[in-house]
Amino acid sequence: MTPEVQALPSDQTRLSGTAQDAIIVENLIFSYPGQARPAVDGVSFSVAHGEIFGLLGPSGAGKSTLQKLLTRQQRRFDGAVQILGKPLAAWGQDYFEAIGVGFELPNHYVKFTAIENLRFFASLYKRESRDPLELLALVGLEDAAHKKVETFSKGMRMRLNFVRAIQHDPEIVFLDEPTAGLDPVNARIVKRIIAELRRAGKTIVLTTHNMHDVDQLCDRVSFVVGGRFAVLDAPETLKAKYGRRTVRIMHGHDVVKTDEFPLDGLADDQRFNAILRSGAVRTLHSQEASLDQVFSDVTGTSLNLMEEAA
Amino acid sequence: MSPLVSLAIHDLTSIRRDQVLLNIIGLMVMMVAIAALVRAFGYFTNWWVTIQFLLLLGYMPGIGYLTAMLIVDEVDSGVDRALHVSPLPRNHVLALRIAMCILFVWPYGIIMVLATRMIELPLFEWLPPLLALSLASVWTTVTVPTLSRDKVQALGLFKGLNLYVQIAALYLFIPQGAWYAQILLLSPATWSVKSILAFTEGATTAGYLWSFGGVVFWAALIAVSVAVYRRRQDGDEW
Repeated sequence: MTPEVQALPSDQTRLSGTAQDAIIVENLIFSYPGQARPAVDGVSFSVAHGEIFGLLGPSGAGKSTLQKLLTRQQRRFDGAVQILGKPLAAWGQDYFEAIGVGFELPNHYVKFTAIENLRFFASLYKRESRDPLELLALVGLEDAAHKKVETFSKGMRMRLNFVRAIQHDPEIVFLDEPTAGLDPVNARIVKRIIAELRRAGKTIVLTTHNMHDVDQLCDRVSFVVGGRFAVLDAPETLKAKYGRRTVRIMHGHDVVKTDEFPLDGLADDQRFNAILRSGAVRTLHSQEASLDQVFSDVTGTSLNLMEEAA
Repeated sequence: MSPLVSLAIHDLTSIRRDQVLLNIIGLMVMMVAIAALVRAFGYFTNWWVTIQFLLLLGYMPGIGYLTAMLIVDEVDSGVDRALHVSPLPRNHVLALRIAMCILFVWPYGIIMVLATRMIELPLFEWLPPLLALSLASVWTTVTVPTLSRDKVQALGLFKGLNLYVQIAALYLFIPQGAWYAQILLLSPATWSVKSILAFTEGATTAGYLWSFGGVVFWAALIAVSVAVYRRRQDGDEW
């Protein structure tokens, strides 16, 4: 069951946008017809140019709907959205020259080869697209470039999804679960490319329920639950805020003991130093919170449990 | 190359690579060939008018379903969503598919009647009722992807919508003066049947009027389907 989450207070970090922001969203509300409860319920935030902004939450939380609204797949909503300094409704078809969209599920013309798919979509843009072979090589699909997509695994299709989203070099990239279905090696490649895009000044909105992706990539993350932002901040800040500033140490030659010491004044803690000098330390870990713990503290439930229930 | 031309080439390649669609084309060609042979050898002369109408109502619109299947395929695979976030306007995509549908069906109908000659009419009198009938395919092309979520639903809908067109054939088998014959006018395909029959009887004005009425009727149905289709594309459930 989804817990009730309060909308963020208006004094939360960087809710109202500035001229430097690529995306400014104010009090965005969207309801699917026939549903009493809004799928997106009064969300406000802004994303700076060159920032990776994460939308983290369980299935059905409203994060994909929010992405659909920002990518104009859903066109009716209440509230104000400004993209690259222009109201969303004022953009014409040129909006799609400026954004790239990576979908959660692979969607390609399966009777066409990978390179034919990329070339076809490239032909729909006025702006110059990147070399499709070079893009396919980036994600390890160079050998499959001339194979029909119907022969691809899900992971290969997802990688093709990803490069299609970035091939026309958009200013803003919306990615929905970009590492879903990928093995660790390819997930790492995709994350490396996302990080490179940020270094190139691209703005990225990352929708995911993968804590590790958020932790590794996002400058800021919002926890989306019940169509609202439960919290919005940098992952490190959240972990520090909700974590414990302690060190847990397991030690002992014959009998294993566990002790926990506060980080503050650790160097002067005589008992801690004595354990270190005893030469019987087995493990030593700082106890900052994981994002899952933060999510759990903020929303009152575990993201993993919500995923299983969804 | 303009994006729309690129899409048109892409669509034609899709048809060329789809075995099911190629089979449909093969069937269509075969139907015309068989009917032309029947006519050439002078078999079943009493049935020629009926055969011609059955071919026009039952098979001619089928060639237009190629474009409907392209749209259904896109919805089924989700690639329509990728098209929607491209600079190609959704209206242009739909307009192209509608234009392609007419370009497939209308000439096919003309070739059919010229090749079979089971009803003898001058070409200019064939054009209006065949245009009206080709709009049946346009209506199907828009309606099927509007109402169906996948290929299985689409195939079921094709059958249902086909009946709405083919039911006009009943008009040939019931007494012309019967009150219930008018019920068949609820299908605009019947208007094309009445148009062709009027032309064969020499009632040229009536022939054109029935055709014009059929075009308007189909256009109204297509407009409703397009409106619902666009609502669905905009993400609204209905």
